[in-house]
Amino acid sequence: MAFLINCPNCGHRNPYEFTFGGECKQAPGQDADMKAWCEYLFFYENMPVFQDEWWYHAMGCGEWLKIRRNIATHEIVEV
Amino acid sequence: MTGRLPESPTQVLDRTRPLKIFFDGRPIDAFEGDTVASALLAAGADTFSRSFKYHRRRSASCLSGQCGRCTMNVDGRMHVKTCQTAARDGMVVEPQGNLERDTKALADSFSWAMPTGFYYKMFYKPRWFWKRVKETIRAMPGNMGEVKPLAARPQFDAVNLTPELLVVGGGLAGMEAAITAAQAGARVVLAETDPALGGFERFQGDAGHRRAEDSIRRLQQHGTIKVLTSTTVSAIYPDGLAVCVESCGGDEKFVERSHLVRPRAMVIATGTGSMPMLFAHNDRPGVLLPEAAQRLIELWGIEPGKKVLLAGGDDYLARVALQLLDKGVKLAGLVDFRAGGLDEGLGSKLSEQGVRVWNGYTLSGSRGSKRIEGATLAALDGSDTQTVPCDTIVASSGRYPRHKLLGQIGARMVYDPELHFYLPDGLPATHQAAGRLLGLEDPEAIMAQGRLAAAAALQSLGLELAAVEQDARQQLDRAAALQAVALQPMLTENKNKKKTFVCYCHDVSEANIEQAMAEGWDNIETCKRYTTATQGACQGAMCEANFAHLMARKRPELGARVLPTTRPPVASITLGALAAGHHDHPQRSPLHQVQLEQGGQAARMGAWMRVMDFGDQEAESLAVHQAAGICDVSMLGKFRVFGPDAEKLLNRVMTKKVDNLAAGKILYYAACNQGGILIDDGVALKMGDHDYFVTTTTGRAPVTEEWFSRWRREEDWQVWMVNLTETRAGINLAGPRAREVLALLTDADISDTALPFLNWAWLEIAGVSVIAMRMGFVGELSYELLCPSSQAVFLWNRMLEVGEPLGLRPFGLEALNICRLEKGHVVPNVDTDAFTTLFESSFGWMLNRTKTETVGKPILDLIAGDEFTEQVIAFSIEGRSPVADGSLVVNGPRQLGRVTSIRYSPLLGKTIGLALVAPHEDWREGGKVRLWFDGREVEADFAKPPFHDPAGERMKM
Ligand code: FES
Ligand SMILES: [Zn+2]
Repeated sequence: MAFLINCPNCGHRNPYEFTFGGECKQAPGQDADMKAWCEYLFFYENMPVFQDEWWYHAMGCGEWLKIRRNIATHEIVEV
Repeated sequence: MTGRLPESPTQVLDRTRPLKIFFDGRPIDAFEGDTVASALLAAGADTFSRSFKYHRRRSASCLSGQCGRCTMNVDGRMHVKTCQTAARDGMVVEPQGNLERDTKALADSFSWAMPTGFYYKMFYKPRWFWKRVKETIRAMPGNMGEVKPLAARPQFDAVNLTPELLVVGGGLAGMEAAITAAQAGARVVLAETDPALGGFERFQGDAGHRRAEDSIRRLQQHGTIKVLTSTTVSAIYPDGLAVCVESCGGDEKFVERSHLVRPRAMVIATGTGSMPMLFAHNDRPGVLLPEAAQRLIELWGIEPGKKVLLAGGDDYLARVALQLLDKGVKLAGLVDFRAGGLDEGLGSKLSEQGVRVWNGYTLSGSRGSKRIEGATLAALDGSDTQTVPCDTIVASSGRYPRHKLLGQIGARMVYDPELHFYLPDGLPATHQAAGRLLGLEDPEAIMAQGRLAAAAALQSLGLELAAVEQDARQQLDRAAALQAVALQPMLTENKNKKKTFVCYCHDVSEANIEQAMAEGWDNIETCKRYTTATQGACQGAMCEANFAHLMARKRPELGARVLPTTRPPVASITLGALAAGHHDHPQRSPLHQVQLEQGGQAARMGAWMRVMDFGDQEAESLAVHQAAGICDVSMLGKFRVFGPDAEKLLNRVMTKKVDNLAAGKILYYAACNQGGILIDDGVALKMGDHDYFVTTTTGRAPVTEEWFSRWRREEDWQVWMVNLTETRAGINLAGPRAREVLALLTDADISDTALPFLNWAWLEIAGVSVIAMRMGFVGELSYELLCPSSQAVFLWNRMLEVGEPLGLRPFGLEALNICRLEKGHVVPNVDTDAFTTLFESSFGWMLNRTKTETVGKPILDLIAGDEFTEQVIAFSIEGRSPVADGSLVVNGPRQLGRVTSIRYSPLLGKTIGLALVAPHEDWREGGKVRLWFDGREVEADFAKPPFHDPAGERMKM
């Protein structure tokens, strides 16, 4: 993968060291219906713009990072 | 092509070091410095491969790794470009398929049966037809070779580099750029595809050679330039990662090394290549590109042929003619398709030496069978045709920029009709192009432009190199700047278009392209997909410009000669190079070695190496039922979870409630994901206030850690977890005599009243402090003993020592499996899959119905009471059955599921198993489970586990 993640603990690292944790999404409330849960579990925005997403530094410090990344260009603006 | 020319300074051969390679079993003499292809050509080889569709004879035609026609099996590795592979003594080279007697060569005569857009038409209708012919069609392609297992697994290396500047191309411009940047203090990586630096100049006679040597000498004075030869930059990604694949030669342990270069700026100086000429049978062995002819005579001292005809439309070709004459090669003449004809000075030089020049002619075809025997010429005005005998044709439509990497950086190649050349537009400032790639011809200009490019690239990083820049600009002005490098395929109508190949990799002819356009595929992007032209192994290097010109000529209204989009990789790349650097080390338990010494047989199971058995899994399982056994369970995930919010976290991830867990009690829990799918099970022990010890399934420790910490991070809870998996080993002591064994090693009270089932205690066993848990996984009285890893071997051996007289023996994973199947225990992710919910996996009873915060609970509430879509069932077969894990469960023609675990139980005299299946009316007492194994149906009886000790008394003894 052609970008680096600047881990606050470990510095600039190859994304292969990380596990991708998906988009940051708000879980439905306790009494949401099946439709709301399905949307939450199986659907993604996946728009070619900046999105907030989870990355887990599995082969590093073991911390979950929230990253703001442009998924079209891989530009990362915030860790 | 036999024998060698006298030695010359440009040659790369070491004639004092002869060597032998074996081609198709025959020994072939070569020298150090030869490539496999040059050795074969020197020995007179003509055919190197057979073409993809029509099985036509093909030969090395570029000798620079571009055309892909020289690929063979080298030392067992397939599709190796022999022109890029150094010959080594004893090398075994084999063609991929039968070169001389290729029975499928008949395909050439039946080319009408494979129309343009073959794949689209073939796969479409009628359906029955495809079914019948697919196997035959799949066996048809040429030069595919046969996959044979390699004696040793090839090794690939990966290296990360972060220089300021990456220079692609080690010719004059590239070297100059590297030197300029190094002088300014930058760290530079210079990648060159050839095994030596020098680029085009390497084979421009003695003068060119001297120029190259001079630059190399100056380059070597800079320690900050890392030179990578035999290295192809195969891709540049949007943020600047360049994947450079080096083919490692000689005694290196690695076959290839992938350099992952992340530079801050780049200079691309990849030069030019020649486009083949379009005439009938332009693919016969004996048709060479001009650079290939130059390389042959200059680098390896090999005559390209006994009578060489040259054809093309630029002065470069005439210079190649003079070069060949100079080395004593006989020429059949030179054909120049330009209306104005050849430069007069060059023309008269050629005629002085008796070379016939045909101005205003072009080639319309070649003749011959195995190799070229002659050529037919046609006057462009149609007034004349001629036949010329020759054994080699050096032909080219003109030179063409090797622009692929520029496209990946975002540049667009724009055709300049004055220059007949493509120039880049829209390069970012950090990425500069230089040298012949920009159409320069004059060496002084090329060098000046290399310096300029480096200065501009570094300037974009904030490094001022004004003086260098000014100087270079002046030199560039003085030199004959941009020169017309003609690329003008002369397209005569007067020839057999069906055998005029545009795309060699996929045998796409001029006629195919005309037909595709007639069918309406007249956009280059759609036409390329329809005909598969430019999509072969050469990735367009041999055909792209011809393809674009051809289309532009047929449809002038399309305007500019657009090139198809370029994408990574620019050259074929091995899977090994892509996978390089991902080192895979299975984990080993602290008890691994001692078990091997005691006869344990190990195998890879997921992330771990595990001991499967000690020679007799059935006897081992019986020992567990009749006396006692010990088994290594160190792979269990083990964690300490503590902190003020520990309960919150555990209540979130576990199906049970942790708050009321009493000291000394074991809490058995399951875990689900947000979809209510069972993902794990394990136990939790309370060690102190807000302090817990948690285990997870074998091998799942890393995933558990990730899962737990995700919830901690989402909620920002004050809780910490420490992974103790590797610091604590685990030994499962099980069997009716387990307590007796333990009593010999401890003074503690281990009676059933002091330490009952599903309780735990800190015990001192043989002086080792252990967490002892009374568990029931194998269905007998059993203790799981978690001890410090460093003391595990000692404890293991002590238990064997005192236990053996009582009938204790070590048991492996297989015996463990037999025992747990006898109890009908379901293992998450083995007997269930990513779609099995908590309820379906028979773990529903473990869900605390009142606790709301459990992950997956909302979904489980919604689906509670729904019909199952799949479920885990148990079955048994009398006696010993050969049915294996993974066999299908069927009902007539319908597949209901699969067997997830099946073993023979010596205790029961039955084969028992679990299956993950769709619901069915037969899953009831007396029902039959039909298994499909080895092509036949095997009947099993539906069963309700446990098979052994249904009341569960034995584990509570
Ligand atoms: S001759 Fe080897 S790739 Fe062209
Ligand atoms: Zn980190």
